[in-house]
Amino acid sequence: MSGTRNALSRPMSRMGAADRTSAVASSFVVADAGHCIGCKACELACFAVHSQTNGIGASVGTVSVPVVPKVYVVRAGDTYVPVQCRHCENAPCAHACPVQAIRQENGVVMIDEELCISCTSCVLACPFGAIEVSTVYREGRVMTQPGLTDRAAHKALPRTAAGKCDLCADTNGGQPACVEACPNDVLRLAIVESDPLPERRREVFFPRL
Amino acid sequence: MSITTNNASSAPCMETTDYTNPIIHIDPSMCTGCRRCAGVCPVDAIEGQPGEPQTVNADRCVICGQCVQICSVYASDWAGSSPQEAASRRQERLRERDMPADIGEPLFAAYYSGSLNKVTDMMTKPGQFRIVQCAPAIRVSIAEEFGMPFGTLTPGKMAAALRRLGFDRVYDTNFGADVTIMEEGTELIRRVTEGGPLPMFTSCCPAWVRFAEIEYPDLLDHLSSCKSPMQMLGSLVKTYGAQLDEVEPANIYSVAIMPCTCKQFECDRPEMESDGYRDVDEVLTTRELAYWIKKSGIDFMNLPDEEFDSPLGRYSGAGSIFGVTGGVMEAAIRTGYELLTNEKLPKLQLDFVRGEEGIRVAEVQVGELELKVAVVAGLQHAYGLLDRVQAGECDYHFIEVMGCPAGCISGGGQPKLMLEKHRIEAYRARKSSIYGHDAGLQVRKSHENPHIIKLYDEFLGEPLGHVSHHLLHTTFQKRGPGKQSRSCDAPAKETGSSIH
Ligand code: SF4
Ligand code: SF4
Ligand code: SF4
Ligand code: SF4
Repeated sequence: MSGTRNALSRPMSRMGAADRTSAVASSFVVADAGHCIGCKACELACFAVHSQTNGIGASVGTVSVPVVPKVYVVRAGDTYVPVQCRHCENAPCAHACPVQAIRQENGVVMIDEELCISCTSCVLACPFGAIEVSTVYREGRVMTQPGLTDRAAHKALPRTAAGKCDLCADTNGGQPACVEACPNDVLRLAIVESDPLPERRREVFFPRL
Repeated sequence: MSITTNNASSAPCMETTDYTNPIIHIDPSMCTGCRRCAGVCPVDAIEGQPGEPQTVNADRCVICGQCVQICSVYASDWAGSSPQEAASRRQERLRERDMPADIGEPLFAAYYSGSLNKVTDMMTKPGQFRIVQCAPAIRVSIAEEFGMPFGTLTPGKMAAALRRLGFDRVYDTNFGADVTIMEEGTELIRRVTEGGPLPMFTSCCPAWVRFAEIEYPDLLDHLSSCKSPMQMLGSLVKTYGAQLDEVEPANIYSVAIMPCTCKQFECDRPEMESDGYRDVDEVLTTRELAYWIKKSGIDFMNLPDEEFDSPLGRYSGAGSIFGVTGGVMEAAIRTGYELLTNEKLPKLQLDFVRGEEGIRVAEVQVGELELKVAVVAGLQHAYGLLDRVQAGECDYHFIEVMGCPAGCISGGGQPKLMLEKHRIEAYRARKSSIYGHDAGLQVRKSHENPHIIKLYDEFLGEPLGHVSHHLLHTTFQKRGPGKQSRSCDAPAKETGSSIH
């Protein structure tokens, strides 16, 4: 797989599900838009599994930071649809990132929060609006950016970073949290290698430029 | 202690207007109309089109709070506005919900009105004797609000926290549950020996009582005339407790911590007073107690284990199992069996009432009598059974009904879970924690609780006696024409099976 464009030192241990450890072209969560009821259970589940460094347990009462998920339920007319990163093969967000904070590991496009400088280039580049830049919290507290101070108030401004769907790479196996949480079975994990259809359609819809 | 059988109290029915201050709400500016709440509402009280904001029909709602538990639509902090706007919108919503301003947790479309601000204001008022009681189901769930595993058992820390919050006496609804068993057990024996009306239904769950008042007003005399354990303890606090502490009932401020959103409605009912004093002044849910503990900077998990105050805080195992479905039945059989037969119950753990199905039925040999009992959890399961009672086809003696799917451990005011897949796990853990608590207690039968024996010797006299009747029993209200008012008549599922 040739997706890794930079030699980042972070280990590959973030990869979770067994079916995603073998090299696949791409996998992503797809939604059956017609059946989404707009309950946002997917958003909540996504937030819950991605916030463990903030001491968030199973109960809503343990939440002390804003709910920032990596999937968004969007309303278009009478239809709701959950939108999240498609893990593009030639990810435009990665091309746009000036500090190479975005990389592809085994078909999963990941953003390294530590490297991200919040320039929002990826936000503009993503054709799906799947990236959001938000404040970083650790242990339930706002992370600050020491170089950035509000002079009048003498305090460091919050550190922000880009975030998007990582296919729950941290959950160590199983389905992504949103897929598990949906009460209507609207979401599923599509694995392109075992799902040949998108490969062929790609030639039709995206002819080589 | 003797059991007498005079003076049976029947419950007169009177027509009243319904309550005007609804407790359960859906915020129309947030609701996306997914109708998951309508899916769990046992009485079809949620109205609206899919994709449009829903409304709660307050005349039909039984205030069980299950809709509040399931709603997953939260207010996004950055949906289309500036951070300042989002923050002020949040404060507005917190005010609407009577929630303290400094809560960090997300806000959901379906919610209940809280009372914490009212209680904390009252706590600062001088000259008051402040008393609190906690329901059996709080001690197995509150630790979840501090990130502990499901079902972590913390009665001692809860008592310690309530003391640090400023209460002069920390009592326990479990004691009220023991009293309930004495009264209700005696009532059952009397109805069985003197001819009805049977079946007798439990009356501890206010959502169930409200359900019966709305849907089956003609069956109200089948309900036990007992007040709930919360109300019983409330009225004892301002009479017996006031005497022991030598305080004026008028100066007692009495708060109850409950797993239930309907308990506030119950405590506000006009009948729930003795000698001009409210039995219970205010109710807080498990979640509200957790807000209060956090707001006060109390490190809950590192508190020492402290005891409840005596005598109104000393309970038997029977009192503690009221928090799970089947618990009232099990506690009643433990006592009823021994009072009726004068023999020791051969086995304390009554597995046949401990299941998870919506309806469980069993027959128990109690001396000469073959006692037929049923346990209902979740009001959607009650319709079929009540239709049979109406038709005169139900030959059970005693039926326990709890409004929530697993009893009070699954109540509307309990910690709200973020992932649906955790729900069953949480209920099972809370339940086994309650049973573990019971198994670990020395006294496991209400009539063997020495403080209960003393209460009857010193104050009440005998179960169903004059003082009990005055303080511990109540009446019910007809709240509508009955079941024909239902828009959609879903057939009730019956899943139970006979044990014998
Ligand atoms: S963030 Fe957008 S551009 Fe980047 S991989 Fe995902 S969908 Fe493609
Ligand atoms: S959980 Fe499923 S039904 Fe609910 S909003 Fe998300 S995708 Fe839609
Ligand atoms: S109240 Fe909540 S659960 Fe009910 S329809 Fe609205 S968003 Fe859905
Ligand atoms: S509180 Fe209970 S009865 Fe009322 S609308 Fe919600 S689920 Fe229905």
